[in-house]
Amino acid sequence: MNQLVLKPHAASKRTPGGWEKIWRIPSARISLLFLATVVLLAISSTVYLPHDPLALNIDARMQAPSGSHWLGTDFFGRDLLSRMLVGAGVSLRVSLFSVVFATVLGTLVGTLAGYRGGWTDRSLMVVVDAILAMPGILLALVLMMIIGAGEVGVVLALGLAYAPTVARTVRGTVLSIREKEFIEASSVLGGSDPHIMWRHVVPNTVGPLTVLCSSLFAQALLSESALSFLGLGVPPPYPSWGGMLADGRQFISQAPWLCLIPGTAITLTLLAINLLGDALRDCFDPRESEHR
Amino acid sequence: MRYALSKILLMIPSLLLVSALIFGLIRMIPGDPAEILLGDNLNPAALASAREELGLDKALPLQYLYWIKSVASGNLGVSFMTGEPVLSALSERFVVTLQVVVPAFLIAIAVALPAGLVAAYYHHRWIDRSIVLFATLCLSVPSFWMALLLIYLFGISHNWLPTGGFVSPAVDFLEGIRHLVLPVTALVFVEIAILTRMMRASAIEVLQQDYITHARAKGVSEWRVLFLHTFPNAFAPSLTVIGLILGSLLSGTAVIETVFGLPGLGRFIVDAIYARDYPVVQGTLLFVVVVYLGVNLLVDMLYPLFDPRVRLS
Repeated sequence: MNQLVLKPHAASKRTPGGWEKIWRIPSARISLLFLATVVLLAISSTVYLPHDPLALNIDARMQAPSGSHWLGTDFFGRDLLSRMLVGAGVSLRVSLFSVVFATVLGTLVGTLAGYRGGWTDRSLMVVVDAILAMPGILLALVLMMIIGAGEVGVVLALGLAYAPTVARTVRGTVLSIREKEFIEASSVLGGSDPHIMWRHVVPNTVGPLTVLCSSLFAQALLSESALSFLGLGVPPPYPSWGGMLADGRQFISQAPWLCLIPGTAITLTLLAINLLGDALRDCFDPRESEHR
Repeated sequence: MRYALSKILLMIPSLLLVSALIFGLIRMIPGDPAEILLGDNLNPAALASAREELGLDKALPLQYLYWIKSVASGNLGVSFMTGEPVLSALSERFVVTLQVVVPAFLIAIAVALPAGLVAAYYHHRWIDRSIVLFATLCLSVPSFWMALLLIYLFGISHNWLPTGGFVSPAVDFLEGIRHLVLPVTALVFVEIAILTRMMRASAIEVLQQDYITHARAKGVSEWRVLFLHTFPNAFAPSLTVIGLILGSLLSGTAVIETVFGLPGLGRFIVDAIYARDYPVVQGTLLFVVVVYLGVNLLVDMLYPLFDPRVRLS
C-alpha cells in the first residue's frame, strides 16, 4: 500500500542521468554550445562560403582583415574566412574519424585481451606496450608515409597510433568487470563468449571510454597540426586548421593574422573539449565527483 | 637490485619486438635510400653497387639479423647520408634536446607541485577554480602555437630574444641561455598543466583521509599538514605521470625543435625518416624507446622511497 503511493514520488526525484548532470555544469554547457557552433559553421560551409577557399588571387595577397575579406587573405590571396570554415570541417572530421577508428580497434583488442586472459592477453599486451613505448607523433608520421598523405592517411595513422591507449584502458575495465556476478550469471545461462562480450562487457566500458575519447579527440586535433608542422598533414591546397597554422609560420612577421586566427581557433576548440572532458570525468568517474 | 635486473631482462623481448617493428615500418615507406643518395646520376650499375655498399641487397631477415647483432655489440651502424656513426651523431643531438627538456621539466615540477597542492587545499574555492582554469587553458594551448606566439612577441615585435638556432651554453654561456629561453617556455606550460591537475587530484584524495583529520585534531599546524602530511602521500601517484612525461618529452619535441630550428633528437629522426636513412631512424628510435623504458623503470624503483607501502618483490 505504502509502496504504491511512494512510487511516482520516487520517480520524480530520480537522480539525473550522466548527460543531464553535464548540462548543469556551466563550463560544460558553454563548451557544448561552442563546439555545436563550430560544427554548425563547418556544416554550413558545404552550402555557403563567402569566397572560394582554393581560388588564387595574386593581386590580393596577404591582405589584412577588411570588409570584403573579414579575416584577411593568405599568401596566395585566398580568403582566410572561407578557408577557416572549410578547415573546421576537415580538422574536426579527421580528429573524429581517427578517434572512432582508434576506439573500435582498441576496444576489440582490449576486450579480447581482458576477457580471454592467459596467452591471448599476454601476447596482445606485449604488442600494445611496444607500440606505446614509441613516440606517438613519429609513429604517426611513419605510418602516414606508408599509407600516403591525405585525410584518410591522417585518420588511419592517428587511429593506429592511439588504438593501444584505448586497448589498455578497455582491458583494465574489462578485467574488473569480468569478475562481476552478472557475467557469471550470463555464462551459466549458456551465453556464448561473443554474446557476453558484446552484450554485457562492452556496454560497461562506455563510461571510462567516453572520458578517454574526449582527451583523445583533443590529442588528435593537436597531432593533426603537429603533423603539418613536420611537413605531412592534410596536403595542400585543402585547408585544415593545423595546416593553415603551419603555413602561416613563414609569414608571421608580415601577416601575423595568418597564424593568430587558426591558432586561436585550435586553442578555443581544445579548451572546449578539455572542459567538456573534465565535466565528463566528474559525471562518469565516481572517484572524483565534485559536483553533486 | 634483483628487481631492477629482472625488469631489465623482461625488457629484452619488448625491445626485440620494438626493433622489428621499427625495422619493418621504415622499410615499408616507399622510396629507395640508394636512389635518394644517388640523386640525379641514376644508372643501374651505380644503383646496384650503392645498394650493395649499404647492405640493402641482402634478404630482409638477414639485414635485420645483422643489425640486431651489431646493436647487441654496441654498434648502431653509420648513417647512409653522412657516413657518420649513428651513436655519436645521436648523442650530439640528444645533448641539445636535454638542454631544452630538462630545464622545462624542472621548472614545471617547481611550479606545478605547489600549485596543485594549494588548489587541493582550497578545493572548490576561487583560488582552486582559478588554478584549475589556468591549468586547463595551458593544456589547450598547443606547444607549437605557444612557440609561434613567443616568437612573434619576443623575437619579432620586440627583438629581445633570438627566435631560432642553437648556441651551446658550453661555448658561449649567455648566448646559449638566450637561445634556450623561448623553446623552454614554449614547452613548459603544457607540462605545468598536466602536473598541476595530477597533483591536485591526488592531494584532494589525501586530504580526505583519516590521518589528515587526526593530524589536525592533534593540533598540527596547517602548514605542516599540507607539506609534511599531504605532500609526500600525494606525490607518489604523481611520480608515475612524471616519469611518463619525462619519457615522452625526451622523444617528443620534434615539432618544437622544428619551429625553433634546434638540432635536437626529434628533428634528427624526422629528417632521417624523410631521407630513408634506415640506420639513423632505426638506431635513434631504438635509443628513444630505451630511454623511455629506462626512465619509467627508474620511477618504478623510486616509488617505494616515496610510498613505503609499496614493496618491490
